[in-house]
Amino acid sequence: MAVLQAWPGRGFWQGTLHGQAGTLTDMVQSMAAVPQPRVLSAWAGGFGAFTAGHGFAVNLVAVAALAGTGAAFVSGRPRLARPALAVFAELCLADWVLIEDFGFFGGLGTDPNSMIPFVLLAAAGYLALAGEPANVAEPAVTAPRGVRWRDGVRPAALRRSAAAASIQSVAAVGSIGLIVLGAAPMAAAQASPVADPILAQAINGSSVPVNHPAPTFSLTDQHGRTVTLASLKGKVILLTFLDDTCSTDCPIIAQEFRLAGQLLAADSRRVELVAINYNPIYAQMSYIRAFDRQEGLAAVPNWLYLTGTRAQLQQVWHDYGVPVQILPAGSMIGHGDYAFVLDQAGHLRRELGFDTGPRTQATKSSFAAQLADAARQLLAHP
Amino acid sequence: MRTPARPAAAALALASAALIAGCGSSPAGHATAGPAPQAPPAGTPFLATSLVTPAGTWAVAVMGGPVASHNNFWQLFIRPAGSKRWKLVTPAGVPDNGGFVLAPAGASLITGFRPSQYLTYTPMAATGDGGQAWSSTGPLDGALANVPDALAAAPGTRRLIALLAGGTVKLAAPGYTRWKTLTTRRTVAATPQGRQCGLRALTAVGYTPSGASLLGGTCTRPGAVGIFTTTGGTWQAAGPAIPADLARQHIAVLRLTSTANQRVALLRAGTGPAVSLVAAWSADGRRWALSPPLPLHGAATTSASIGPDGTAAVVLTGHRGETISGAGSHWHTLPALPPGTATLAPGPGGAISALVVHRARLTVWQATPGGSAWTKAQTISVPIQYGSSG
Repeated sequence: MAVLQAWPGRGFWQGTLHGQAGTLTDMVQSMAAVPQPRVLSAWAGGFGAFTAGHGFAVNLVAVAALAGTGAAFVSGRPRLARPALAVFAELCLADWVLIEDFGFFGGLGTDPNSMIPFVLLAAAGYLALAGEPANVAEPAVTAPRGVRWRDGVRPAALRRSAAAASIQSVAAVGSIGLIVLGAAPMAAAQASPVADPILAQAINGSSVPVNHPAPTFSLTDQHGRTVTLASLKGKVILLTFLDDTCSTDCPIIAQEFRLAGQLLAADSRRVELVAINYNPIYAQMSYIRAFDRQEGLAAVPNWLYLTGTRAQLQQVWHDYGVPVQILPAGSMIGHGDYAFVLDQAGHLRRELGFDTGPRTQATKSSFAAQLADAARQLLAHP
Repeated sequence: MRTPARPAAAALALASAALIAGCGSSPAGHATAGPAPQAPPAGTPFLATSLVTPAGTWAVAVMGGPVASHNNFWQLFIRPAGSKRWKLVTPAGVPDNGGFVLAPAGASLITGFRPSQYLTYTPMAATGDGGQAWSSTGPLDGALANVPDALAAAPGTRRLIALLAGGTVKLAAPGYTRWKTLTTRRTVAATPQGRQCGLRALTAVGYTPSGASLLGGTCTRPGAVGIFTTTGGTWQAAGPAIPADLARQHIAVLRLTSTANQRVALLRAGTGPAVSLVAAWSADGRRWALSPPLPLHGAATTSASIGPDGTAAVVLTGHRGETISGAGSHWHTLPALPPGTATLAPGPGGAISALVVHRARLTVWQATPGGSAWTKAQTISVPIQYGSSG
C-alpha cells in the first residue's frame, strides 16, 4: 500500500496539479459535494482544503505511516505490531469517515466500507502474531568473517532455512511478492507508450463494428484548404470531434490521437487523423490553430482539424449523431466524446465511445493503442 | 480555504490519506500531466470587479463552487445605462473557471478568458450591444495574468495590450489574432527606471490618453511606485510621488485603469498589519493627485472597482467597504457589507451596489449616498452547470 501511495504517476503527491485538484483532493472534494449532513460535508470539505494546500505533506505522512505499519507487521514482532495495529486502526477509521464518507454518502466507487474489513484483517494478523510461542533464544554461532554468507546461500542451507521458516517469514515473503505482482503491471503501464487497449475497452466497452457509407462533409482544415470525405478516400480515417476551447477531455483526446499517429509509425502515411470542431461560437481558423499549437499538433503531417460555418458544423454533427449543446453561465460547449474509424472507401467501420476515464498516461496510451490497432486492421484487411 | 479546527483533527485527516493507496478507484483522478504547457491556477477572487462604459455598469463575480475549483464559474452582469436592473450576460462557449478580464474599447467591451485545466491559451469575445450578442475574437497565445487589469484597449485605436501570467506584455491590433511582444518584466526591470523601482512583478497594463502604453507593478525599493510609460521607445517612471509618511513603505499597484477622462490607480503601501491603500488620479498619466492613505488595520482587499468619474470602491475582509469619489475627497466607510459581497459597483450620483454571491444566487444590495443600511434590490439565479468542467 505504501508503494502504491508513493507511486509518482498517481498524483497523490500534489494537492493541486496544474491549477486543478490533485488525485486525493479531487476524491475528497467530489465526495464533500454530494448531499449529506452538513457536519460530514464540513469535515470532508475541510480535509479537502487542507489536502489542496498541503498535498505533499499529507502524502508524506501517509506513505511513512503505511510503510511503518507494514514494516512492523513484516518484522513478526508482536511488540512492534501492537502499536502499528493501533495506528492502522485509527487510520482506517479516519479514512472511513473522511475518505469513504461512511461508505454511503459519497463513497469512492468500488470500495465503500473497505476500511472496516481492513481493520479486522489487521487485527486478525496481529492475533496470529501474538499467538505464536516466543522463539527460544539459541546461542549465537560466530563464523569466520567472509564465510558466513556463502554458507548461507548454499542449496543445502537454503533447504534447511526453508524447512525451518516461521509462518511469519513465509507471510512476509508472500506479501512482498503480492506487492511486486501489483506494482509491476502498473509500472509497465505507466512507462509503456503501447499499452494494451484493454484499459480503454474497460472504460468504454468494446467498439461497435458497423459497415455503411460514412456521412459526407465539406469543411475547412487548419491551413484553409477545403477537405471533403471524398478527398480522403484511399486512406484510413481516425475521426473525432473536438471543442477548441474545451479545458478537459478534448485536449486529452487530441493527445491520444497524436500518440496513435506515433504508434502507427510508417503506416501513418496511409492514415488521416481528423477532428471536426465541436464549438459553433469559437469556430474561426485562429482558434483551430491555437488548439493545434497547444497540443503540439501543428507539425503533425496527417493531422486535420476541420471547421466551418455554424450551419456546416451542425449538419455534420447531426449526420454523425453527436449531440452538441451551448450551455449558459460560463460552461464549455456540452458534447460527448466519440471516435469513428473509416475505411479507405469512406465506409464507417467502427464507432468508439471515448470517455477519457481517469486521464492517466496508462489510459491515454491505451486509447491510442486501440485507435492504432483499428487502423492497422483496416490497412491489413481493407 | 478551510483548515481543520484542531491539530488533532488535522493529524487524523493527514493520516487518513494513507489508506487511499490500495483502494482502487478514483472518481476523477487527474494523476498525470496533460498536454504541455499547463494552464495557470484558477482566478483569484480579486478578479471580481466592476466598471462603467457607455453601455452601462458591468460586474464580474465568481459563483458556483465552493468545494471544487472546476465548479467555480465566473459570471458577467450588466446594469444597462438608464436601467435599475442587473442581468446576466456571461459569454457562452468557453469554460471560464479560470476567471476573465474586461477591457472597454469605445462602445465595445472585450473579454479575455483566463485558461484553466488543460486549456493554455486565452479565448476572447467582444460585444457592442451591452452583452446581448457576443462574437469571438483573438485568441491570445498564453494565459492572461491573474489580475483585473491584465487587458486594456487603447483609446481611439482599440489596440489591445495584454499582460501574460509570466510577465510578458503583448500588443495586438483589432482582430486580435496577431500578437507581438512589447516587453517583459525582466526587460523593464533592467532599465534604469526599473532598477530604481526594483521591479519585482507586473500587475497591470493600460494606456495614457495619448495612446502610450502604461505598466503597473510591484517595487521592492521603499517609496517607489511602479508605474511606467514608453517615451521614445524607452520606459520611463510615470507614477506619483509618494508622500513622506509612506516613503519607507513598499508600494504595489493593485489597479491601474481608465475612465472616460482620467487614469485611476489603486496602490497598496506597506506590508503586514501596517498596510494602507492609496488611490491616485491622473488626467494625462503623468501628473497624479493622491488620496489620503486608508489604513486597513490587518484587513485584506478582496475586490477593487472603479466607477464613473474615478470613484474607487474596495471590499475588505471583515465586511468592510470603503469608497472615495476622486481627488481631494476622503475615504468613506460604507455600512457593514452584506456577507458574501463579491464586489461593489459605484453608480451615478454616488449610489452604490453590493453584489453578493451565494453559490448560484446573486443578490444585489443598494445603498444611497450617506445611507446607513443596505436595501435588497434584486436577486438573480444563475444556471450554473455543475460538473460541466469536471
